[in-house]
Amino acid sequence: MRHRNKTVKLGRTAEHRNALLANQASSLIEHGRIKTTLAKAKAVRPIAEKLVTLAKRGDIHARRTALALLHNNSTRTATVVGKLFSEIGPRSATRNGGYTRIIKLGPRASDSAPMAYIEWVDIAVVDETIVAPETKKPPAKAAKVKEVPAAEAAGEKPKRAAKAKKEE
Amino acid sequence: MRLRTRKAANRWHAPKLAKCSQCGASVLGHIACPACGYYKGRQVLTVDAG
Repeated sequence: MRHRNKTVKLGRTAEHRNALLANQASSLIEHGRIKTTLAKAKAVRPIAEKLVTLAKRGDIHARRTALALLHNNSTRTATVVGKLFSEIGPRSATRNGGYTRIIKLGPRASDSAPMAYIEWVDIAVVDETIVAPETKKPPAKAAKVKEVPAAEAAGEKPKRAAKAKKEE
Repeated sequence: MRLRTRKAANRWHAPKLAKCSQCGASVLGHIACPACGYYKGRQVLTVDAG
């Protein structure tokens, strides 16, 4: 039973875990979407959502609390909190919670760890590779042709082998 | 006999696969399609050749 086990420990000491989650939350704010294991995505989500709540409050105390949550230890933290308060907070102003979305991606090739994307619901991921296929059909096909040939080639090999046999 | 009937329920089952609504490939449920990158009616990732 999972009763009263609120903290996802991720097999790390508290220091290691807090550093990891602060780093992941910072990366999420920086990039808008990060790919990580499902367990880590689920562990980051509460922190990310609390940060947005702070950003929506927007006062100086909220800003300092956010800095503390992200382990104010570098210039990166300052820029991250700046972006959080200037972009992500205002975008989610009309939303009451549920600021993040987790999309499951299936098992990782190396160790079968379930992977996932975690992203902001209100912020479109500004990434050409993502935007291109979303602009309806022709670009989507073009993008697929560019990026799937290896998979298709792998799928076609057996057919070619079969054709060769038929010809014989 | 009773024991084996009982143990038979514990055997390994293959994962149940669904069809991708976009490209028709077999995919695990609740997961973005690894073939075309669609999930819940929108593109969520681009499929790379790797």
